[in-house]
Amino acid sequence: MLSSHIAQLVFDDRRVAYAIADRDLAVTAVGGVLELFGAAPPRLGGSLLDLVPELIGNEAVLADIWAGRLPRFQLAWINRDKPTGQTAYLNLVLLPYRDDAGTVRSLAYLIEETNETSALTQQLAQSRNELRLAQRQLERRHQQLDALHQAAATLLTTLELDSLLVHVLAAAATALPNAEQGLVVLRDVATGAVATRAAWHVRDPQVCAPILARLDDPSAALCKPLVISDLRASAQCANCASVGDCLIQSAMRVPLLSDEHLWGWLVLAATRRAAFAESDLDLLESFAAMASAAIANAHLHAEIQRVAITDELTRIYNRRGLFDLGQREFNRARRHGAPLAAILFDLDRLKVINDTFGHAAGDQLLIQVATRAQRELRAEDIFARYGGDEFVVLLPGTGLDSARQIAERLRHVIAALQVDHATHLINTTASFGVAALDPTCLDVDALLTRADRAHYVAKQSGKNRVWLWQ
Amino acid sequence: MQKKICLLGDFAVGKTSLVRRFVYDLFDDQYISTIGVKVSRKTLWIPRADAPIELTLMVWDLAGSEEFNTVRASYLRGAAGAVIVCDLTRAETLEGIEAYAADFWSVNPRARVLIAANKCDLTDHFEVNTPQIAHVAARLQTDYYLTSARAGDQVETLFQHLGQALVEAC
Repeated sequence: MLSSHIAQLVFDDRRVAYAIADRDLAVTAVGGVLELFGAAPPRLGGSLLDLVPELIGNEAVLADIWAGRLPRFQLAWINRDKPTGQTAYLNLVLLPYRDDAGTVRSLAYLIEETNETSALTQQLAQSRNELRLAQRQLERRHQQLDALHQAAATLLTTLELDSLLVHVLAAAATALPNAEQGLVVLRDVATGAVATRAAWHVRDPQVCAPILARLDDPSAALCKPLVISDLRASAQCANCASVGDCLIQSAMRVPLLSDEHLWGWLVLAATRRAAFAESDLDLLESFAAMASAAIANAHLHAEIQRVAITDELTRIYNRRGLFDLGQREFNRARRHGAPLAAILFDLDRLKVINDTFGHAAGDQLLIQVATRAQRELRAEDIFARYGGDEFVVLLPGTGLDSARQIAERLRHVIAALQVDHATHLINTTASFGVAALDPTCLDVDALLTRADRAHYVAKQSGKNRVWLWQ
Repeated sequence: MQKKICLLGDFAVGKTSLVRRFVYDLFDDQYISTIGVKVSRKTLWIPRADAPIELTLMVWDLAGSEEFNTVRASYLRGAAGAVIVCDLTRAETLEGIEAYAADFWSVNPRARVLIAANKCDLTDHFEVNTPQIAHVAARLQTDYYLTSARAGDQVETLFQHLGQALVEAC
């Protein structure tokens, strides 16, 4: 009777097997495709657990079935190794078999092999998982490119170097989420001295000391990127006294290079070991290239600014520099009621010198006058070539009388100057006009006009003298 | 003594590799998604004060794919313990640990759970650090192990400690 029930479940074209077991789990009947039971050959009287190892340790399930609490226990996609080494995928069903009174008398155990669909499912699951992994890599790449894009966009919007470097650091840290701290360390191209120029989340100034150690050592391989996975074990930090106190455990350092200049280094650090992989270096180098471009741009910008306000011949300020800086100084003096004076002077014999010795001699004289006069002035004084052989000095914090004394000193210095040109000693004198700021003087142009008028009087009065505007 | 334990975790975190290392002392680099469940058997000797006890662990290696989520409860039924696996090189695999634990405990409320932070040999690719794992383990009031199925690091220890806990719970 029972077998006929089971037999109804076994179709000719399906790979199905069954077993019946009594309350002691002893097998009382088996049938179907017996090889599906696996390595243990089914035998009458043997234990059902030999056929269904999935029930071992799962006594709770068996107890629930016998008690009638579990009408059916089903597992899909059970993997079993075939003798051929392949995997069989099986659906298992365990269900109670009741007598006419409804009492559970036996357990029926059915197996169905699902290999045909499992191959497709396997491929599907595999492909889906691989797609997810690829998608994740793409997302990460996208995130990195986005950070690079943002850093590049910042590069295009400002020439302010400090702001740019902080942006590049923050963008690099976004793209490399293991980074906890970052630094841009710049190197003085002339002296080789190094100094931190930008910092990101650096909590303790000492933390990066070992990473920055030896940066001024010319023998170090400073132009190569570096990954330190374990700071304390790193040869880089072997001789660094502060390595014991350093909170940093791992770091990356890439050089900032452009046009064969080593501008400095971009450093990212973390407080745990092995935070960075060698593969992270490529990305950090992209950010370093941006930082290098920013630094090179900033240097170029500074150079252009310097050229724009510098007299090419004498290397002192030109007229533009005089008015840019002079108006600022004038405004400050007006606002604070501070004294400010202007000296305007020109050379008394330049035309004669040019006509006699040539313009090269005149140029040389201008250079020497500017150089010598500069030595007599303070760092805060604004000294400019006003045009031709005319020079202007703006003297912050200086009243009329002090300005007169300075003008006299300059007059003496210039008169004593002798320029050696082609076996000739050239000398000259200069005439000076001096004016000081007062409430009626509304801008730097007005102040210079007054100094020019005084200078005119000095010229008219016999040259080589100082005249005050009053 | 026989106990059923389950391995849970996202796809490709190394559940099958951990089982292969533990049961057969083998490792294979090739990634093949597990479909459904593979049940393996391993016998351990658990030391006790009087005499060591033989414990047969029925290790259920469950598919990490989402398509098996709906049938996962029947796989979990009757388990005395679980190892929830995350991948140290994929931060998102840590995020799911608490959800796996909740699922597991909803079926087996008194079962013991341990965390395996796998692939600890791939130090160059870490996205998860030890304090992060410790934080999750503390929230679940359980222990964690930094394992490597490839190198065998801590694999035996992990299962031995789980076995010990299961025996002590009896």
